[in-house]
Amino acid sequence: MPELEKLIAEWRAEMLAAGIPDDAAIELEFHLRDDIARQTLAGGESHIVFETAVQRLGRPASLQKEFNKLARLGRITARAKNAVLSFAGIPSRYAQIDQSPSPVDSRWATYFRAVVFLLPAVALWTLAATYVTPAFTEIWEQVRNNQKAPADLARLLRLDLDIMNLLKDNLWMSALACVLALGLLEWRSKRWPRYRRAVIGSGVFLVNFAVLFNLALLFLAATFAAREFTAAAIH
Amino acid sequence: MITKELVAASAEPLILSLLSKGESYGYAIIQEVKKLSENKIEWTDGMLYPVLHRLEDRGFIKSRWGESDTGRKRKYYSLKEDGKKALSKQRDQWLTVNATLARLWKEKYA
Repeated sequence: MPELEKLIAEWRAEMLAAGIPDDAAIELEFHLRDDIARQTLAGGESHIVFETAVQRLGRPASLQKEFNKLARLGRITARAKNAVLSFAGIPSRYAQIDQSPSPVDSRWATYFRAVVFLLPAVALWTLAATYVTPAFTEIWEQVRNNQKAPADLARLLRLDLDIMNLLKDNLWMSALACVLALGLLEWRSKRWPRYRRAVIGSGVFLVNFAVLFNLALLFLAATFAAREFTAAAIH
Repeated sequence: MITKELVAASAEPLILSLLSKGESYGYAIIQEVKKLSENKIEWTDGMLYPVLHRLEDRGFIKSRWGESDTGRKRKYYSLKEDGKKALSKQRDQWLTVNATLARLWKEKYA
């Protein structure tokens, strides 16, 4: 029935114009068609059947209000999730959800946010690597030489200290290599902008985690060493 | 006629209860509610869908696109484990309210 299809097409356009989301409009249309089919089977006339089915579905403005509430709740949930992710140092997609144009290019916002989240951890790690680690290594060698250190902790700490020393000696080269790699990706890769936030965010999270783990390991080993020295001093 | 507020409050437990019997789609859910309530509960058909989408967002139900016997596309909904737990909680709450009112009215109208 071409007239019915025309009516349904007009109704669909009205729904979309009212702001009903696409997938919801599709579902509502199939519901409309089901109702029309049932009424037609029961002997209804096509234009009355259509009007009745449309009336039963409800006015576009009321439906749009309900779907909007849902979208708002979804945005609130997404914002809450992004706030938590931001605390973890993972840049969020908040700007996109907000849909308000940002005065700053999102690329620079991503890098700026990454630097801000990395700065405390990197500063702390640099201080520890420069001043704490050499002294700590001496202390730990004494504990190890007295064969007081648990084997697993000693192995893990050895690896950790080796990595720390390697990075400390090549810090500027590593930073330069990262900057060059990012520059290359920005310049050459068309797909990089799509993955930029996720990659930078994950990288920041991993660096923060590695620094925290490193410092926690040093703290654990230092506590162990302090205990051994205290015991030796007492005896 | 059932008030708008009560219809709105009962929508979720009704939908979850119907889906606990098996997979269904929007139009069939509306028809089933009308039949079970003897046309006393009247929903605006379209208002069912935001509720279904909300339940899906909350992880209580899931959906899939399928086809009817006549080849028409339909979105089928089914209950998830979290939905079963939510239904059980809501059932307890409604039974509590129902029992309390029944006691009060038995006293008053006995």
